[in-house]
Amino acid sequence: MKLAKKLTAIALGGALVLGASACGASTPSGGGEGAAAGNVTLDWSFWAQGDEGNKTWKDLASQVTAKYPNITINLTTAPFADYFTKLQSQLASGTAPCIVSMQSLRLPAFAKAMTPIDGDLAKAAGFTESEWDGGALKALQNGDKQYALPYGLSTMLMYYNKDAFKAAGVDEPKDGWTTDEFVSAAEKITKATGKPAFGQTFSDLHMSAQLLAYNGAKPVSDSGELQMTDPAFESAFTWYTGLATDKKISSIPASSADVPWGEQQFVAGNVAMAVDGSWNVKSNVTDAAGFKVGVVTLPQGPDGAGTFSANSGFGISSTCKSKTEAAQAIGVLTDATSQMASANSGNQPARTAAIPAFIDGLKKDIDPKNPGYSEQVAAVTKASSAKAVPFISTSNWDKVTKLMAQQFQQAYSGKSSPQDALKNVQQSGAK
Amino acid sequence: MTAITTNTVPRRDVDPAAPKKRKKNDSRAALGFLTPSAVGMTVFILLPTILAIATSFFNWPTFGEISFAGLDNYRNLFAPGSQFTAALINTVVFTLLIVPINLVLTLSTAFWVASSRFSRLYRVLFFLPVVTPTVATAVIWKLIYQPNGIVDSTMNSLFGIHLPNLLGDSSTALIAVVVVIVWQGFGYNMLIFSAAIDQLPQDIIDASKLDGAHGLTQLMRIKIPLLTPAIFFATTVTMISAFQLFSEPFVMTAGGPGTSTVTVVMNVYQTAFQDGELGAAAAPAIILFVLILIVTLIQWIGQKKWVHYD
Repeated sequence: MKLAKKLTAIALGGALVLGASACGASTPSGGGEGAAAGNVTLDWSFWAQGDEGNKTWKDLASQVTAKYPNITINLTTAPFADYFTKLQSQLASGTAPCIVSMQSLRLPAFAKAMTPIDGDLAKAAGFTESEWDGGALKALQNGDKQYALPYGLSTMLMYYNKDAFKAAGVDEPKDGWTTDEFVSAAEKITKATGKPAFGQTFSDLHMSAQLLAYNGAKPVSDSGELQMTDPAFESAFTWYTGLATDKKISSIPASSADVPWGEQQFVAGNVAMAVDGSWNVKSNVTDAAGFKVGVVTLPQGPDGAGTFSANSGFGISSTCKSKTEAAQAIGVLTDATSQMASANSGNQPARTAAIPAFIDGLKKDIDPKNPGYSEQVAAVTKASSAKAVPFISTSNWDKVTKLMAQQFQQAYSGKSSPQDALKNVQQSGAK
Repeated sequence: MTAITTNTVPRRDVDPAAPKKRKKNDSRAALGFLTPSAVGMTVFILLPTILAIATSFFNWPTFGEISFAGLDNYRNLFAPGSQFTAALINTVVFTLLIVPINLVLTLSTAFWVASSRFSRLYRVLFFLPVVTPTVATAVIWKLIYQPNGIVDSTMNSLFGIHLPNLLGDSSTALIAVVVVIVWQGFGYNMLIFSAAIDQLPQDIIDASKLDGAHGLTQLMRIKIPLLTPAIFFATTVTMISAFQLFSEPFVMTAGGPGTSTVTVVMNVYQTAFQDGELGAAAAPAIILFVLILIVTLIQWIGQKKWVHYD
């Protein structure tokens, strides 16, 4: 009896512990069903786009069925923070959707589990290279193969609270402004409002883009190697942490779990400036807590190198059983009409022909309550895109971003030196 | 009046084979009752355990080729840059803090609640955090702790001081998380102790009073020893759940600042589902399994000396 009790305790303890570990085999399966009968249902996973965005993409999914009556799209969404973790689990358990939404930063990690869209698949998708922004296509390539067709192109911009600038008696910034002007404006607003004017962040693109604009520093080399301890990156990161530790003009994340701190604090009206992507040009105004929003290029240092671009698109998982149909569906989801609809709901398009629709959408929906915004966005996206360089990530980028949040908290609060924080990320994150 | 004796009841003829038949029937019934749980144990506990042990000896990416790794996954846990050592130390520290604080608080509150006329109300109130989703409470506590949150604002308005960023400072983050875990798990053990206190044999308590045992003497010499089976159960369960800590630090601090709140289960989760390395994730899971097994066995062996079942 005693032995039985002990064995039960052992088994129970073991199960509780091991429940956390994952056991799964990469058995082929697919999100496409019913291919033999001619009709297929394709699963399509996407990160949540907000109410308006979700509705737009659902409508576009129905356009796929309108063009190809044998294809039905089943769209499921997850919050962006959970999307790639969920996708990994789905790939591990053989339940990955046929059509996967992919961000350029995550492509190096997921390329192995995707099928390149070339040859017959490119033909099925109706892909013609000349219709696209070259940079947008390149960002979704891995080893020179196109793994996803982009639906948008994003650059990193500086959003600012027009009302806060006005209240502090500071002139609104203009495209091409410098880091000195940025620091000076932040100091004046901090003094006038009594709270930090700028919001720091752990978000990879946001923080890295500001460092690139400061002195051209990049966290990853062009060959995909992590280089956090590169002298240029160290210098830029020291400047960035100093905004909080020395100049006291910056609000820092409350904990390592608050990855998108600055951008959230901006929308909530707690800080006057924050870096965010052009994918939020519309939502940052509609979600702003009762203030007028402006947008400008990232402040440039003497050796600044513009901004980072990143984009997202749709690809095919390697376990998909109906790849041709998936390519046809992606063709519809990224065609000129779809990009017009997507652009109209606030996504900066990857097809050059859809850019006017992007600006017209803002003119119609945003300008009445935030005058002059569409014009500002047109100018800033043009200026940023002209100087944007694609963000290159490592194949273990999710791990690196987790380490950044853990280690940079210490540096932002002055509990460790910027050099130590970078060294720790480099040591644990380098493959 | 007719006296009814057993002799008046007509007896059936005794079948010599009956005990054997009954025994056979009992065995079948026992098998019937045991099979569902045995199948469940095998499918959901035994097989995954064996699979996890096997996985820990392989390079097992989420997608890609699987190859035999020998003991590499275990060696890599202690390589420079690995967070496992910090996670293991943190997990032990969490356990050493959570278990005694939880037991002392819940036991003393249970005695207080048992003597209160509103004992049922208190039990419900104290149990509410247990049935509240962990993630929801962790998010709320994160907001309470953050600069300009409830705690900071109250301190500022009452005393004119700002608290340090409790979750953003490596010297306070772990303690701040411990407070939330103790608060959340408090009601469960308190309910167990309350039930045990209600079941204390009144005759023994009365006898101890006649023998002159009152107050602290009665508590320490009579009541606590009678509660030791419940204390043993609560200690074992609380310790196992403390070793498996994940949700609260994951939601509140994501393991930071630095590695100050990383736990072993968080390390397992991140290695498996963020880094995509299932084999490397299985290795710390096995080590934690063995650790819990050893500590639980020690508790089982040690209970003979301090747990009183009679």
